[in-house]
Amino acid sequence: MEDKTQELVEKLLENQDTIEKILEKIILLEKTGALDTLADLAAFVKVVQDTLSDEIIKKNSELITNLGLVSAKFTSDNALMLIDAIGDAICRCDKEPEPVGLTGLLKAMNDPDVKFALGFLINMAKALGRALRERA
Amino acid sequence: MKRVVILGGGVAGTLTANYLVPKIKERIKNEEVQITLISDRNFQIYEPGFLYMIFNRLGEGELKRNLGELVDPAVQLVIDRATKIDADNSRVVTENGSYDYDYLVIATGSRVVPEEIPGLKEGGHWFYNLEGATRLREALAKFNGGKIVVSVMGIPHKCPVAPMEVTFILHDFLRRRNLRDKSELLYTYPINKIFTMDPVVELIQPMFDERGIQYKTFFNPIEVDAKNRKVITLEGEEESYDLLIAIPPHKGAQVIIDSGLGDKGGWVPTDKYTLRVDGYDNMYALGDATNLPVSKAGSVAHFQAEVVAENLAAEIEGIEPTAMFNGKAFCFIETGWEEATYIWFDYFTPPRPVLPSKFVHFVKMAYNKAYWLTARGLL
Ligand SMILES: Cc1cc2nc3c(=O)[nH]c(=O)nc-3n(C[C@H](O)[C@H](O)[C@H](O)COP(=O)(O)OP(=O)(O)OC[C@H]3O[C@@H](n4cnc5c(N)ncnc54)[C@H](O)[C@@H]3O)c2cc1C
Repeated sequence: MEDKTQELVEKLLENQDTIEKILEKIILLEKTGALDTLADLAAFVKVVQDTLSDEIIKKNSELITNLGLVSAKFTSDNALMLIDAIGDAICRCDKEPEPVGLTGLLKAMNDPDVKFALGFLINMAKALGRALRERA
Repeated sequence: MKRVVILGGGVAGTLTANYLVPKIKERIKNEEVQITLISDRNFQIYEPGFLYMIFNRLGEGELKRNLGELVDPAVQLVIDRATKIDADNSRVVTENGSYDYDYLVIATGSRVVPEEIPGLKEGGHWFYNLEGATRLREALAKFNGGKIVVSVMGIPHKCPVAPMEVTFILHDFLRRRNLRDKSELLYTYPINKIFTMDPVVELIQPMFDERGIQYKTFFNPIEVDAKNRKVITLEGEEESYDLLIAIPPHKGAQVIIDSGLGDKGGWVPTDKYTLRVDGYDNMYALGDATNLPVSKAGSVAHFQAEVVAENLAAEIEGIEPTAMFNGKAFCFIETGWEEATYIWFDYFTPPRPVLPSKFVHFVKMAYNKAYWLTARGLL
């Protein structure tokens, strides 16, 4: 017993500076009530640690990764411009749609705005075709 | 138009391309600059996953992604094998064509050459490439007890800590399968200690002792006697084994050797701060391909890519390049089936490992999936 007490005293003396610093922090935490919060937080962290598993971690990280990879492309300058333009189109297009048949479609094709959008869609189709072929 | 050619579609090449694009996107759009990435395969492999694949904790399919998914769409992606870098004429020759460049980035990585140790291919296993990992997974599933030797057979090798990690995981793998009592685990290292860095030795060696993992230092295998299942060393020792897991010697890419750009190991002589290839103003090298005294690790390739991309962008803009690589590396160290620690260090700072914990292991497991965000330049 004597030996153990002596060992303990030696250890305390050896680390006096560190222990004083730690004590000061703990006293402050206790006085402000933050120590209780920290104890609660520790219990929360422990429950997270005990319930997580490699499988849960893998599944969730994969999901986030896939979203991240896709979102990198949907936030490129071009994609943002398109999404922004679609947003404008949705906001401005307040007229009730009328049913359109083949003649209506042909007539609409004379509209310069529709022509422009069609040109864009054809460009898109070309790029999409290439991207699909690259992945085949 | 200025042409940047990046050779190699691993971590280093992909990240350099992905970091470079946003810095000079206007110039790419205006066709003042073209970035071409040449790689000999259309996918990338997440090599750290081999450590899990051999224990069947990750499948082969989880370790691969198409380069098309990973490389910025503004980069011209060419799938072709380079056969020669003609540095005098600033041209890369491939099997199917040739590409002139104003700037070249060498990111051709490293590869294992088990054939350099006679008998190793016949008598041993490794997990440092896909075929090796596939074979070892089978051998481990069939393993019924006996002596496993984990032997580092050459320095430098990729991921310096992986041999320690595989040893720790093996210990737990055998315990879980009730085979630990029937097995011996021996780890060998070529120099006079179990790892190059003292703070890591101070943490790991007592952990090996606690687990009854044996180790030998100054152990430099020169031959494997496949028939009698023995490793023979330069120091004149012989060590028997039932299952040999080797970290085979490594070399730089064949194209570096064939182009006369490498030293005798095929490593490209590179400035440790600027990452310029010695003697060439318009060539950078990074990742495993260099001769630098830093770890051959994906994290190193990552930090280097930031520097190369910044300096290339500066040069293209006509600004003096000033970014410098400080030698930073980051490595997780799995210390068992479900605990891990990590270290980071650079040219000026030694590593200080934290105590192993379950959380660090979880972060590593998450990163095994999230790595692709790093390759894309997002994480
Ligand atoms: C088992 C294992 C565990 C690891 N664990 C970790 C870890 O935990 N943390 C970590 O940071 N790192 C780890 N690493 C290391 C990491 O995987 C490598 O350091 C990293 O892959 C190096 O990237 P790189 O781009 O330089 O080379 P590589 O990834 O090897 O890429 C080189 C690319 O160049 C291509 N190429 C080569 N020659 C030619 C040619 N002639 N023409 C066209 N293309 C060519 C190749 O096909 C390849 O795509 C580990 C490695 C292994 C094997």
